[in-house]
Amino acid sequence: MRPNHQFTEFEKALIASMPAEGSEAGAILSGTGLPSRRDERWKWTDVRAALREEKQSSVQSVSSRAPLLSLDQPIEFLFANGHLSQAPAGLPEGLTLSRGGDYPLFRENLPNIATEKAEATYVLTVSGKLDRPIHLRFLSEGSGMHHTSVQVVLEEGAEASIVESLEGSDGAWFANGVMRFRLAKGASLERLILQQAHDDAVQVHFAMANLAAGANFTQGTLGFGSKLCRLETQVLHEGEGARAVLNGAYLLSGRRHLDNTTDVGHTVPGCVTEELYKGVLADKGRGVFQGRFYVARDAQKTDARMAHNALLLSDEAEVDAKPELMIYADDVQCAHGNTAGALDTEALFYMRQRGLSEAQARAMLVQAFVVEAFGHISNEDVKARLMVLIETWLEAQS
Amino acid sequence: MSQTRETVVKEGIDQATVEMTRELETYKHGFITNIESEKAPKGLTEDTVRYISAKKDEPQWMLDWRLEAFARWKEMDEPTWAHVKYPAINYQDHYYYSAPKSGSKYESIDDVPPEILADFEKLGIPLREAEVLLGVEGAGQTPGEARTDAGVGGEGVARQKVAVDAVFDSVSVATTFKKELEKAGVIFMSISEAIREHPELVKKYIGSVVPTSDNFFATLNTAVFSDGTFVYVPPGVRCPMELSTYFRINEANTGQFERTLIVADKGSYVSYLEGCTAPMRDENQLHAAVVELVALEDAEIKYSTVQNWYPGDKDGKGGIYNFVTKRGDCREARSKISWTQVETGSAVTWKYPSCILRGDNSVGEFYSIAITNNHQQADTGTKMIHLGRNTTSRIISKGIAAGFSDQTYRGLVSVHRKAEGVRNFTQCDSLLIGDQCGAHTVPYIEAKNSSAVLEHEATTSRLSEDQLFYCMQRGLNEEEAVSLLVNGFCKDVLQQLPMEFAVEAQKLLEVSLEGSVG
Repeated sequence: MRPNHQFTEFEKALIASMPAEGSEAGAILSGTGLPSRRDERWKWTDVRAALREEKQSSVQSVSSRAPLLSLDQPIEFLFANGHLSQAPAGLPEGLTLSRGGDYPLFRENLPNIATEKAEATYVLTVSGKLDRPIHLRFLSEGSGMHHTSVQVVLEEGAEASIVESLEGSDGAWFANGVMRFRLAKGASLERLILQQAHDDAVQVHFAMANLAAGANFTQGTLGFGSKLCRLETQVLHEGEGARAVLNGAYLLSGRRHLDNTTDVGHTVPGCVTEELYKGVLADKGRGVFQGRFYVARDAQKTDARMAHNALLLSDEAEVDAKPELMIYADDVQCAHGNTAGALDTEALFYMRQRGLSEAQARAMLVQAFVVEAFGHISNEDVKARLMVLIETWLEAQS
Repeated sequence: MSQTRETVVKEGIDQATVEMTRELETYKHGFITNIESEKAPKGLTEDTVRYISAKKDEPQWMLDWRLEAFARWKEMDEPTWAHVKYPAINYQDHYYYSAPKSGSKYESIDDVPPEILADFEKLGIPLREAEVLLGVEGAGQTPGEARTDAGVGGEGVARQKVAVDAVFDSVSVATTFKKELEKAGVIFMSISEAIREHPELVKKYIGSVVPTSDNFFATLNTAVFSDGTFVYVPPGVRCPMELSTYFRINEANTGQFERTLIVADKGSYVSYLEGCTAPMRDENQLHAAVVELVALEDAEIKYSTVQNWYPGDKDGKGGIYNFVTKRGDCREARSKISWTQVETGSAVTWKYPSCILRGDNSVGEFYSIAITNNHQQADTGTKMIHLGRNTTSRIISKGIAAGFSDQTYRGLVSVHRKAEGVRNFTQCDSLLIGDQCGAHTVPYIEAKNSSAVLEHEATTSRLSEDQLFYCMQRGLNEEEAVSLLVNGFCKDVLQQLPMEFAVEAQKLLEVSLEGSVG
């Protein structure tokens, strides 16, 4: 219990909405409240301060809109303010949808709250190779709050790709989502997260991935921020020879805030993690990057690398980074790098000499800087569409 | 190492080597000096604070400052965020003041208790040169053969002059070369003397870098600090010799709370060395110091520490808790503060020598080697706060963890909104020796100005087997090979140390890693 904790109206209402009996998330919430800058892991992303006023539960419908990313033959699930409002009539072979049961508590409480408050935990189970991409569209609007909980299970040797788009229109809504990924032996999943929301929205999207031996988890993120947005991914290597790629880019303008937090645990020998985040900050944008590698005593032969590079385009922008290593095994290769700086003036000068306008030259440099984070995406079509989103953002800046 | 411990010596190994190794296995500064001392009653109350202040003959403003700190300290919680574990400290179970009974200042060498002299001699501190001791007529004129440490300056190596202030438990017992320094206008004395003799300077600068309620341990220090060193270098003066303080905790259950304040006025330069030791005792002793540096326009302060507090025994019993607040303020333009530290001792270390880069074009540097072995824990690093334009900072941290030890680098590089043209380079490398230790890196980077160029690199690895094999093929034994590789790993930092400290540091590296291989 935190001494002298003054609960906000939002916290009081949220606590009141939790079941009085048997709610573990509710018990934790009434003890500690929402995470704030006094919590080490949230020091740069103060959810408590961003959500002070009381919020009602959102209505379970939204106006229809075109997807942020159009995919080729997607298996599309649409969550309207947390409610699964559309699912394909028939699922392809190798994919099933069910509702899940109990889960162990997370160390973070927001995903625990999401699990309890979501209308259900939907479980997607994949066996064999799924050719079409799964597209989870999380649509939000209005000024209420809503929660989602989805689990994706890949059976032994299964292969799939999934896109989660966090889309939202006007409104000061709060969306709190939790994703669980379980990859059995030799399974392979390519995950892409796209985030674009209104200035007033607050979003927390948390994911936990458990990787069995030889599993392959590849993640890409493209985020544009909101009033406050946190995209957190925790990965646990539980079987030898598992591999995780965590890449991402963020482009923030206005007063938008985006926090990319990752926490990777190596508990067994011989696993690999590669991580690369690229951030571009304009106006009063604020980017946060927190990365942590934990290598347990038994996790010998771990190879883990992390890099975060931020580009500040404005003197009012801010970037905060904490790339952290916790190493208990001696025969490992672990490294992290972090840089922050402005665009290279010499490169700009060179390009302007060659006849490009300043805006064009800046756009090209920024694009070249960001695109590195998408090098792992195998689908050229998807990659090209991501580039269009980045170009649109750049055009809006100039 | 296990071989030498069992005294099974391989053929061809020199007996002297065996003895040397045996000596190195133990903490050689672990002796206890039996002298009578005068102590404040055990525990910490407002009366303790008044007692210390009265003992020091302090002016009212000093007592008021201490009491204010004590009142605030009572409201504060001990920090828990560092990656270290230790049993809760009972602050009422310590002595907060202990002085050798015969008083702190001596008219002549004969008045200094021989036990103290013997003690410092064992530490290799040049105090045994009677003429150099304070109070003895003409001491300042004596050409100083400052250090007589066996490892320093063999044949043909010119010995540098070093002026020493020795702090024994709570009080400063001797300051050397005072007169020679006075000639240059440098004030170098214990802080208690300075409060009496130069109150205007102390009052102006003390607490101006580390405010009263900065953190739990600094606040405690402000309330109960007993002695420490004060240095003032006047404008344009390059301090003619290196200044040095040796800290020693002798009494059982005694906390040492020293306060160091160094002010380098416009265009001056000073290099300051700090060394620390303590006896081996089973219980933990507390050391909570505050060091404040102020560099004015164009001034430079170089602060080097070799910290060798008793680290506890092989099972982690005993040892010093080292909770230190060190901060430098580059207050005016073009000033420079450079921290170099070699941390080999202490059971638990919690220490972040920092630089506030306030003046435009000022420079902050942090070079650190931290070695932990057995059950030692260290959470150390730095903070570089860039407030001024075109300020630059460089952080080189080398961590070596062996045995069952845990080590964390924790650092902050912060660039404020108006700090144009900031540059920082940070490199933290960790080396793990053995598979039961841990090495952690927690850098914080906060950039609020687009013209800042910040670079951070960190690696963690173990000693390369290839390199070890290569060295051993060339006739080095495993310990020597490890020592050579570790020295290579630390080279960037060792180069920053004044020459004689570098030799001492290299020896310490060897001692600290004894028993970590094989």
